Amino acid sequence: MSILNSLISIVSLNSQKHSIAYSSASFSNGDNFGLNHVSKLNKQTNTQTHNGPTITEMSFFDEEIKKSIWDGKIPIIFTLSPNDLTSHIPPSPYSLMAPRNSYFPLITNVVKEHFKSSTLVLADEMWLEYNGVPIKWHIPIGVLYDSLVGGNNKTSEDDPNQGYWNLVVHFQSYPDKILKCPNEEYIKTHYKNVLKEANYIKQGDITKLNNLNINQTNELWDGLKYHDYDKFWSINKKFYPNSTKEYKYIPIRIIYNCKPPVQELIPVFDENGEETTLQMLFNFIPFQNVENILGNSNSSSNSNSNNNDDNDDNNNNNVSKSDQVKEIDSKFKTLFDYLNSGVKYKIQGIEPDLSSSVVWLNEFFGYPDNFLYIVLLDPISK
Amino acid sequence: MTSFQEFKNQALSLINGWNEWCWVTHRQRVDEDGYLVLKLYKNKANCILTSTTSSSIRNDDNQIEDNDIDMSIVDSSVNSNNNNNNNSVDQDTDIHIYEYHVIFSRSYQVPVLYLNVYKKDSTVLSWSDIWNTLPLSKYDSSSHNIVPYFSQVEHPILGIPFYQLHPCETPNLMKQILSVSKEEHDDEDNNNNNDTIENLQQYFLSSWLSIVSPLVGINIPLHFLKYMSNK
Repeated sequence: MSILNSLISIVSLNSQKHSIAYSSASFSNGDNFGLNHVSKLNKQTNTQTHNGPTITEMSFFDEEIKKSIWDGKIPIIFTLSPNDLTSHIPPSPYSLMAPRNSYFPLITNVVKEHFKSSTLVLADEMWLEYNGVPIKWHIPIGVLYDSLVGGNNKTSEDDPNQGYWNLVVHFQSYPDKILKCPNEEYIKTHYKNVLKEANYIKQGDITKLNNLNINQTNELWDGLKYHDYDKFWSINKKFYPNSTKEYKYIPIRIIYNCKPPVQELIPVFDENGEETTLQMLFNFIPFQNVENILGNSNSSSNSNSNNNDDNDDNNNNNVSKSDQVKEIDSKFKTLFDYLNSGVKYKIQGIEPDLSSSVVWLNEFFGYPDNFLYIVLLDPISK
Repeated sequence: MTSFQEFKNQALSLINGWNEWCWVTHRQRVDEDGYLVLKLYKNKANCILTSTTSSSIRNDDNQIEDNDIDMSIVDSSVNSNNNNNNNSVDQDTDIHIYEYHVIFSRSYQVPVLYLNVYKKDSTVLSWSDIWNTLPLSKYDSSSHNIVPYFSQVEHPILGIPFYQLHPCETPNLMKQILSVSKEEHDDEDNNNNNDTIENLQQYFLSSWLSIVSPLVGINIPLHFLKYMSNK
């Protein structure tokens, strides 16, 4: 457990340096304890197709993996924006280990307290920025990190901040492109809505969620808020079917550059009764469905999707009441073809083997909102 | 409603009878792309001055003013004097632009309503200001700051904040609506026994919109009701 645990934090810390050594290859022939079991379990899920191993059957090591994923943390250094500095002495930066499976507003109260005395501009809510990009708080921290930093922590070897994620703290000019988060209720509402969606995808209804009593609902929320594994999973386990046969679809989100996710309904088994693997998933998704969120596409979608802050009449430019003429000149047919061209993906900071079962990944590598986030890394900036 | 294509077919057919809505696409080469957009310009008294395609508002709309349709519960109906009169709209700084989007949710397989309200200078109204203008607020006595079924989310295509009427109850609601109307149909006309739920699915979007619209300040035009009853 500790090895996988440190693996996750190492990869998060210093992904560029370690990504080759710990990429998919190490999942199938890893020379360390934790990883061997991941690959064995994946084989197990692949061979026992129809009866799909129940969660209880593969509990021992899986529990360790689940715990390790939960314990994954990212070291962050927060610095106050110079624009907001009103004291004579600039405050020292604030650093903390941020859980991947959390949301920024749940952990940044201490950061706010730290900088409060150094700024007089507290008119707006606090917000965070990385390299000029406002951080979307509604995306889980681990997904934000994989997506914005990915395998590309650009700090040089002798930089003392190497391995840390440097975020700038702002107290004014809250960007209108990110969701407002004036209090905890907003995080709660957002979290519940996404959790509902994931569970609707999984089971076709949300009765399991609606049937929680008030104590259980609070337990789940407190587990997330205080990052308490036992509390959180005591409730969260109810949302995972006992058998893979009870799944309708697997809730997954493809993320690129923190843009709105691409969501596909992924069946647990293919038409031959094989349990869906990552490779099958990537083959299942047409490239064109992903192309529009990629920055380097040639289509006009770039200009359209980037100018939406000027609301007025922007949409009218794109109105077409007739079907658009389809061009079929794309280089890639599926997302898998695209990944084969050298594009990397990350799930909870690592690149699980293509033969991994997606339903397994969803439970063990999923985020607290029950979605499996697959982050695509930009090939150009690497 | 089981697929995007079905949503699109129903949306395009809806536009035929209710031409203030537009079908908007953003992406090229994507089969499953597009959503419905309606823009309403309202003044401070919450009267609709003009809508997206004001030029196409037909004359018979004026009949709404002496309406016996209790579906249009927005304080006032379409003011024909302001049709096509964009100058007066520009001069009025109190104009609020209500932008409604109806987007198909693949997760829930239902249409979902998104809403944003902004001023002429593109500044977005706060939620409490928006909420108080929605007829829905008159039915819901809970605090306007936290309405769990109406929350700010990231627009699934534009990626900017929009208010979303949460779709998790829509599948159940529509199941009930469509099965009720099936029974009514059966009672009325026994010859029409092949009127199954599947057939009623073609009214999914218009039925849903006729329930949701009055709650969020969209007037259902008389010509659309006529159009639907002639179908």
